[in-house]
Amino acid sequence: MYKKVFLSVIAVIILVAAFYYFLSFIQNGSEEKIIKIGVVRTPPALDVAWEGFKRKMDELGWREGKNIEYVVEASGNNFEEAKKSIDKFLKDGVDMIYTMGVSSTRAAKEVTAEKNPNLPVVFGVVSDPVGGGLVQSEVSSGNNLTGVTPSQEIVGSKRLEIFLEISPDLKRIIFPWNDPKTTGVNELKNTASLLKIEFLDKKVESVDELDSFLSSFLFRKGDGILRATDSVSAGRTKQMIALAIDKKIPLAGTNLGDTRNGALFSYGASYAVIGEQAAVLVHKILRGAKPSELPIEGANQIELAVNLKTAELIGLDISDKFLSKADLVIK
Amino acid sequence: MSPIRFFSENNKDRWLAAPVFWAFIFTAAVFVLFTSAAFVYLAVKTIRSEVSSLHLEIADRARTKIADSIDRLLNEQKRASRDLVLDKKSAEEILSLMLKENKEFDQASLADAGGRETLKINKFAVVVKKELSDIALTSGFRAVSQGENYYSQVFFTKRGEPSISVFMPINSLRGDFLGVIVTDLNLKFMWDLMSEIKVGDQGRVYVVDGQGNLIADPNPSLVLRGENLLSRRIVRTLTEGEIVLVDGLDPKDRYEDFEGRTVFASGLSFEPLQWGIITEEPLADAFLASRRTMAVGITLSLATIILLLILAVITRSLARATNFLKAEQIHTFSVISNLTDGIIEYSSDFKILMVNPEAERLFGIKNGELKGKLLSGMERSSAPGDKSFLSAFTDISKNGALKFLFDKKEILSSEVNISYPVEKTLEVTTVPIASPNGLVISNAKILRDITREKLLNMMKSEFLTIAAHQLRTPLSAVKWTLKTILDGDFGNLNSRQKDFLEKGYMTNERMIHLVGDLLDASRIEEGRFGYEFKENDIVSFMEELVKNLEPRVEEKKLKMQFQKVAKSQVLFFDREKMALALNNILDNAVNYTPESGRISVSFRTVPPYFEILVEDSGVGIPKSQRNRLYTKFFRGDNVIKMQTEGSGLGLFIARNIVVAHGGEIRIDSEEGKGTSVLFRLPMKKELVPLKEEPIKEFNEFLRGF
Repeated sequence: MYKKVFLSVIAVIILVAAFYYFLSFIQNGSEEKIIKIGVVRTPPALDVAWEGFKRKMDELGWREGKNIEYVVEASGNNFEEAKKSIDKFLKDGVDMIYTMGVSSTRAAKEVTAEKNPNLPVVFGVVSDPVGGGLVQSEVSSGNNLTGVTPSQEIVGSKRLEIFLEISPDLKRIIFPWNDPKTTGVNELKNTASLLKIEFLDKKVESVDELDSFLSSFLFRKGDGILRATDSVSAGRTKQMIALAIDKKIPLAGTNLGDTRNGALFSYGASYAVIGEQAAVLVHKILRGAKPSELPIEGANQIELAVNLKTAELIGLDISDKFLSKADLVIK
Repeated sequence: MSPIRFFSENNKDRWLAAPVFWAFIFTAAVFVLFTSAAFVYLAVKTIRSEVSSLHLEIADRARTKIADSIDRLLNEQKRASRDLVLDKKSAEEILSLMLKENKEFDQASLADAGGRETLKINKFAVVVKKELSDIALTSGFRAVSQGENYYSQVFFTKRGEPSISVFMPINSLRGDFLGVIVTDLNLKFMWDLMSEIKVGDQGRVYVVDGQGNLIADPNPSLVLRGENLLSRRIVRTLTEGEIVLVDGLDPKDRYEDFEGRTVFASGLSFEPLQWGIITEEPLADAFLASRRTMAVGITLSLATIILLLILAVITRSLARATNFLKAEQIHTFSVISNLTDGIIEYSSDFKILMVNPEAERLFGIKNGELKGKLLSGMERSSAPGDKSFLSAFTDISKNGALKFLFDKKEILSSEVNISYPVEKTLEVTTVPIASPNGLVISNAKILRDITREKLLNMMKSEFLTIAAHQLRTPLSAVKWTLKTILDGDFGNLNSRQKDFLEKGYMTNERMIHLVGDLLDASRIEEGRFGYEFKENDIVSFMEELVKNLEPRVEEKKLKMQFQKVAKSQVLFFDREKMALALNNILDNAVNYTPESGRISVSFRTVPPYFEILVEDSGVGIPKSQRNRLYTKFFRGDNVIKMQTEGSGLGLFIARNIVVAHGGEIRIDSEEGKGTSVLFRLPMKKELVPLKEEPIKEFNEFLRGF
């Protein structure tokens, strides 16, 4: 009797084992689930990077509503609000977070470090993420972050060179700055001396200081304003542009948005391309890569935009040779 | 030694001997092992070479992609060099445009035919005239001045990104050497190519330069970290330049990857640049199929061997069981063969299943001749042995066909005389042979040669008859002589004389009675008692017998109760013989009932029988002796003490007479309390046997001597 039971049990075990062994041969891929990505927009300046991101994701096969879902919050300009958005994403159970701009990225880093240190965060348009303490190094973040930086400090010198090209009569560059790292102020000073042009830089601690500096500054012919790549200047770009036009002084912007807003020209990373690069990073992570394996990327495309309207307003004549180099000319 | 063991040990098959048998199984197992090993070996080899081909295909795909990209960039550079020839003044714009449109170029520069740089544009940095240098002595310039493209070794940018410098000549439309166009080509673009190419789930494809530095990997941080992989044999092989393909099947080409897993790796060299393009995949994943094949192969062969062993064990035990059964069969057969009784077994369709040698001898049949034959087929046979044999089958059922016993309790017995091969009398006992579940499967006839017994029996009977006859004549003479003297024909006798002679006369009478009984018994036994059945009224017949007893009943002061029956009952019986039988019982009742005892005679009708019950309050029969009641010369121990007279033949005779009438006698008795004898006689003529049979007990009795 016991023998019979024992044999039956053995037989059942063998059958089950054989069944699972057999199953392991024909294992089917489980059904594809819909990936949820939390997105913190930073309107309106960085929405180009959001559109570029979506476009590239679609191109890579991530169709909205089919295999990917975006939970979008537009709180990127305010650190505290962005933190709330990230909290909400965590509650929604997102698989990844895409941030644009430094505030939302910092918010994402802080909230995930506390609540879900393995949740990947991909950022776009964050200048100097290493100096800002977001990642350990450009080679490897050492945490759950990776992303694309506009490499402002690298192209700053180049921007200066182009400023001289578009406006050959420039004698002096006015450069109010706040953050030495993201603005690359020292590099700029070196370049200015190489290019044999006077470089007047002024450290401003706040928007008010910037405003008072510019409004009280005595501009003269041959002056040009170089817009610094830091948050103080970023918040006052429109005012700076208005002032420059008013004083008929050329102003160099850092991105396409500045030119659209009336800067004479801009030279800097293409935020749309940054968005696309961020999408590629997200794609790689969804395919199994770890954020720490993906180095912080510099922007792949630097674009030159010229505003002919502004040129006309300030009475500047731009050569065809220069225009031929421009990626975008606004009339 | 038990007979079965004896037979089984003498019936061993050679192959069952343990060493031979297991050697055979071992050989089979080894064969199975070798076959599956060969199969697994070939399958695994094929699968492995397929894995290798697949990897090499992937490496080739990566190589093609890289080559396509680099070709495209070289074409861009070539176009720029052509444009420069046509439009010398727009050099800056041409180079700027090239850099802008191809993000892979980090820097572009021009040098004149003398090797002096005339223009340098960097994507990120501002280059001033001061920085332009003389490159006439660089190996790049020297190679290009010979008219060839030149590719520098891979160098790493500040960010750690791999780049190469590409030197390309600028030739006039007439072919004169005008200068050089040099680009810094950032190889970062290959990283994306690497991450697009999948090698299984866990594998990767990567590129190393001629120095073994990792320059492209799906995980770019490894490249930026600056890994050198010359410690891997496959990297050394591919970058040394002579071997352009490593299939990875040599285990020496395996290595541990950055995560510590042993990987299968194969690769191709990217010849113009001496790079190596290598695919790697954890060994476990790469050879999953071959491992599974191996697992299946091993499992199957083990299963086969286990099955083989199970089969072997079963076969062996089966063979042993068969052997044992065979031995037992031989044993049984030997027992039957050596029996002194003949045995014939046959099925219900009278097919002969078995005839033992003794039966064959009895009928003079040749060895094994009858086995399997049908009885119906033998009826036409003229062989004398067959005729003798058939005579054993004399039991005929009601419908006239041969009788087959289907009831396992039924046993038939008869005597058969045969004349071939010699005259014999056989006692044939037919017994049903039932399976353990009670189903009769065949019948057997047990034949016993009783010729000698018959003869002996006859001789004894004859002796008895002759002796009795010879005794009766002188006894009669003595009787009449004594009677004449007692009657006073020879003068008066005094009372003493008379008394003496009377005693002598009585003794003589008993002798005559005894001799009569003996004669009757022997006639009964021989079946020649000579019954003459007639219709008589049994009740008046009985009354008459009882009346005859009256003097003795009165003498002993016994109380005799006779049941008066109004109706007469006519039965079919022999008056004389029945009187003998009933008198024997009545005599016993009177003789063995003490004075003042009670005797009763009553009648009962139990169709189809009529019963006569004779009860007494006599001494009874000891319980221990009741089974010997009907044997000849039996007298109870208690009555021998009471009365010396009595032949012991009375009950024997009475019972056989009743049986010859188709009836029976039952005796119930309790020692000291009395005896009741029940006669049961058939009321219908048909139930009375027509033929008188010799008595079996007689034969059995004789056999005892």
